[in-house]
Amino acid sequence: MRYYFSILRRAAILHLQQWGRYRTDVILWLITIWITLGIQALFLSVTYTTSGGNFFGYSAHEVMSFFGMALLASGLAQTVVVGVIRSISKAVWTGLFDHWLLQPPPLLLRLISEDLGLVWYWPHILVGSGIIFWTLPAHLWPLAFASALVASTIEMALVLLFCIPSIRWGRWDPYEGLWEYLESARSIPIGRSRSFMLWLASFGVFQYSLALEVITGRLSILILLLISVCVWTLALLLLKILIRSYGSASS
Amino acid sequence: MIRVLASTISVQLQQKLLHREFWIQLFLERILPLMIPLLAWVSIFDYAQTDSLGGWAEGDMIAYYLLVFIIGIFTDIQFHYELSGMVHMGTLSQWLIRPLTFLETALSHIIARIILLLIPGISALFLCFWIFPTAFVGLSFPSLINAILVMPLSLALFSLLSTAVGMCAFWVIRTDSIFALLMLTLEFFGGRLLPLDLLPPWLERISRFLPLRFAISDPVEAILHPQTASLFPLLLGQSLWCILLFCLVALLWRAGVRRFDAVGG
Repeated sequence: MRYYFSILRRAAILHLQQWGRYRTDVILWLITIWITLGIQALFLSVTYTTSGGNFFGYSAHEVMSFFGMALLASGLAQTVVVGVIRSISKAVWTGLFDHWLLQPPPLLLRLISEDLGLVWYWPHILVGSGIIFWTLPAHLWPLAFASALVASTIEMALVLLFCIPSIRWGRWDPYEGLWEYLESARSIPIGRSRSFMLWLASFGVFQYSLALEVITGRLSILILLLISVCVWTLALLLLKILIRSYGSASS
Repeated sequence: MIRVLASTISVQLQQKLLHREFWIQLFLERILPLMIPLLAWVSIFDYAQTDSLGGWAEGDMIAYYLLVFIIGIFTDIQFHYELSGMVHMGTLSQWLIRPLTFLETALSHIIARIILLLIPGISALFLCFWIFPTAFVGLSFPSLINAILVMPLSLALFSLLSTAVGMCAFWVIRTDSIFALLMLTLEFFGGRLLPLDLLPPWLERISRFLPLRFAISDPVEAILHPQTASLFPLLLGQSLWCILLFCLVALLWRAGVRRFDAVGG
């Protein structure tokens, strides 16, 4: 375990050093992220106000808690897996993935440690945590953070499921699309909407609505955990299959 | 010249059609994000059991988002992505020595992309008719005329914006963040996420000074309500923004190509 943590620590240091060189890009991205958060909050607020409070039965308080938890969970997930989205397709395309396979296992850690997302996603974590502290009573904080953490693991597994097909099809590069989808879909809670089409379209962010139901006491955190285990099993199984079928000229 | 342009478009199109992943990516990055506000509003109307919210009837709201959805698909130009790739990989030099000006090169890429987008765009249109059969009942012949008049300039506006962002590749590593920043802000103030009259008044005022209002919200208004919407200010706004962005693109190109060293930016 110490060995794995030392790798992650090294990855974090390299990540900060690497992006410290490209300050213009980082600053532009951070402005984008802050504006995104502002737009999402505004969209949520206008939609809630326009609906006259008939917002799938969610109270204003619940909507704010949802927003905080979704931001925190998404920030945590993207901080860990953004490197997979950004680099796996390029690694396969350039043949670098062959070298990754030759390095000491586990491969999953190698994929993740290629680049982290600390520099990009700290606003999500900061704002999300702030909203949780602001909207929820102190006795619910541990449950809110635990639910957000479990929801974030679901997002991580979903991102992996979307990105690892690049191992077989090097041209599959869902980086921009996946980011845009997750950022757009995460804006509103949809769990109580009773709209199958909306659920289907929001499949990648459904876990945040479930995390909210954990806070309101309608759902056990164990069910959320079970969903996480199932999605991770699928992701690891797919990774195993894709690694087996990988040929260095597969792209 | 037209023959050279046509064959360049054809090559671009063939190259793009080779990559089947494109369709799934387009679905993920454009169609789903555009569908979610529409589906959310339909569900809110259903849940609230009301015909009108914020001064918008359910049918009008659906028609608004459907038209935004269709405009959104056709305007997924993404030329910034291709241009930044050319600059960073150094492949721009291949285009500089071909018998085409940069404007023609850009035009061939953009037209090929728009032709490609016809397939999901028209499919989406039919799908919309099937899922929401009553949404466009109110549309008339003047709506069609207005659509034919305003849509090309909407496309031109998006294309010029995408090209201008792509030009930034001469100065920065990743143009994705600039494009995301610009499009998020401009599309929001253009009415992609919410009809502009639902925004707080001070935010709605800001949108009057930004270009994408003339590419999203006002064209939709002109198509939905051809009797009340005034076409002249819309066409004037679209034309002025197109000229302004074209000048910006020309300036950036001149400055950028001087910096370009053909072995990567």
